[in-house]
Amino acid sequence: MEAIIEVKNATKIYRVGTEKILALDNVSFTINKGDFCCLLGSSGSGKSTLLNIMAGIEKITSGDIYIKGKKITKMGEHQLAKFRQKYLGFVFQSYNLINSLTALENVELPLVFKEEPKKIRIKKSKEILSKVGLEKRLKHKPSQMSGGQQQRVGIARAFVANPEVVFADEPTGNLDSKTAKEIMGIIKQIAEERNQTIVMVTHDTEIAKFANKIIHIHDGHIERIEEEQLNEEN
Amino acid sequence: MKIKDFAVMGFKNLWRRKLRTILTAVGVAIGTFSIVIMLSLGIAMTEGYKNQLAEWGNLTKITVNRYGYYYDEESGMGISNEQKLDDNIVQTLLGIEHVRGVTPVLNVQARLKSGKYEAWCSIVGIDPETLQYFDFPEVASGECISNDNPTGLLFGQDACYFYNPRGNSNWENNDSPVDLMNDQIKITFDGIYDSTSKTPKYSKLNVAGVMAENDTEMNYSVYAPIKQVIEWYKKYNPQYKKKKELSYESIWVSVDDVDNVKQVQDQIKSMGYSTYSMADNLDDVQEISNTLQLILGGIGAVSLLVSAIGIANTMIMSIYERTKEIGVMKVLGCIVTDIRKLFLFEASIIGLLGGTIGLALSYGVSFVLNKYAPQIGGMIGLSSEQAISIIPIWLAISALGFAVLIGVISGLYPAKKATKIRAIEAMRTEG
Repeated sequence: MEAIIEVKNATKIYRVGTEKILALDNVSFTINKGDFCCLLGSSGSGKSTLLNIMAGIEKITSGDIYIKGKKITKMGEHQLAKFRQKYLGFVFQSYNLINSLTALENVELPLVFKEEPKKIRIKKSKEILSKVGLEKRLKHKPSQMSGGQQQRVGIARAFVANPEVVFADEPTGNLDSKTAKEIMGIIKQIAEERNQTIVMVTHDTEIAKFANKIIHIHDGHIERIEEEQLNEEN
Repeated sequence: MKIKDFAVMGFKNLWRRKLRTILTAVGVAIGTFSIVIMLSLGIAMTEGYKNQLAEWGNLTKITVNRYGYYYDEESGMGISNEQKLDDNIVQTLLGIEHVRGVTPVLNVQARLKSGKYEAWCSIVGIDPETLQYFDFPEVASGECISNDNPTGLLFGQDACYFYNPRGNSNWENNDSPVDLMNDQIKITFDGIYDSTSKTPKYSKLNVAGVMAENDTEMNYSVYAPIKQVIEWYKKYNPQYKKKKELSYESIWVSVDDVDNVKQVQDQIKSMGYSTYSMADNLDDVQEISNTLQLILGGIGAVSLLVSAIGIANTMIMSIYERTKEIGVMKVLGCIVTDIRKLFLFEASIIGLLGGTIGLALSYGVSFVLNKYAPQIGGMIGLSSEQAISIIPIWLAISALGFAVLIGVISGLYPAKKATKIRAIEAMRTEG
């Protein structure tokens, strides 16, 4: 098994006034290529902080994160942006689509940042949008779509550049349980087809069942790791 | 990101906040409008005066007169003195830097006769090879004077007034009764300088050409190659007959550019000659109009400064509203320089939009001013043909460029602020 993400002694301390809050306390683990990994924990457990640090969105206090062998905790902002363009995708809890852009344009965005030619951008974006079942909603603005549809656009946007790792922060947090399951199904299906790695944060044990590796987090510590063997059919 | 993508995103962002964008742009428009209109008034004023001077004579021409007139500072009086003008001086003047042509000038008087009509004319001798330097009007019919045709004369449109000495001196239909190019005309130099009653000896007049009608002194003169005029002068001028000494009436010096006239003129003066040029008057006018334009432009600049603050304000507001969006863009891999460029682009588009509106407004107002103000000006006795507002193409282009520049400059700080927004803003759930 090839390790794609390595977390080594990750520690995060927040300063609130003069008080120090230990959000992550010396956490270490590894995620393999193709894993669907879930960071499961209650509110305030430090799971979101962990995800943000793994994706380079927040600065680590001490310790190191390696993705594809690259030490992202030492990267500058420009380097990190280039790294995100190439290897990372992102699904947000509140979708975070750009309201002035259509579904298609939103999905194109990561490719725009990557400076891919317009033709290729549109081809890739349409492909992935039809994969999430929105081929008829290309020209719709976010305000004209339901939450489930918006999150599908969000998923399409995360996967359009064919990243190796997709981070998802409570992707179903704003959705009802039926839509949530649909959304999870889509994420899992796309990731499996392309052998992509998913790192997802949730507090919902039902949702966590979609993962093959569940890391239980409590008070900034790893409580336990459940892991089932991948790709049993191989 | 590529330019086209900036354009698409930038325009969408601006369109999302149409009202604010337009209000901000109107601020820029008013600023641009004030500067352009103010400057156009100043430009028109200078231009008008220049035209007027040019009507009186060529601005790049310096004249050295035989009877110089200069202001004596010691006595505080104008003094007239005679200076001898000969070919040596012509050669010396030709050697001065920026001088492109020099010609001696000499006059002879003659009388013309055609049928029952007669006319007086003054023939000005000049060097035909320098003709090009002195803004001669184009030749309407016939050809120019040249050394190949030494006795050929070039007529100004209104150089000779033919009249019937024995009849009504008024022309019918305001047209000259004599066609210079086609009628038989005779010329004589006799009986002009002396009133001896001997019968004048006429010879056939050789007309080389007639110049197109124009507003300058050239319209009223007849020109001939200087060599021939010198011969006539020696033969008929009684003063020469007495003294046997030739001095030119004047020498014309042509300078390559209006801006160099003063320099050349000073140099000629330092050689001890008194000179005259239209450009003498230009310096003062230039100074007054520069001051005027500075004041008028300054008033406009203040309003443009205010509009720059408007752009900065709009962009900063926009950043507060788009904090999360910028965070999301960063998480999706947008590099910092692209975020800066996007904001600068939006700010410069506001500038360009405002500049365009302002310029359109300026052209409109300029048109109205030129159309209706002269009528009012005419009533109070100003020249009614002169435009009072001129917007040259360079002013239009630099006004647009300046408006965009104002946009970019006002966008610098907001853009820098935008790049400082952290990716973590994307993760905030509220908003």
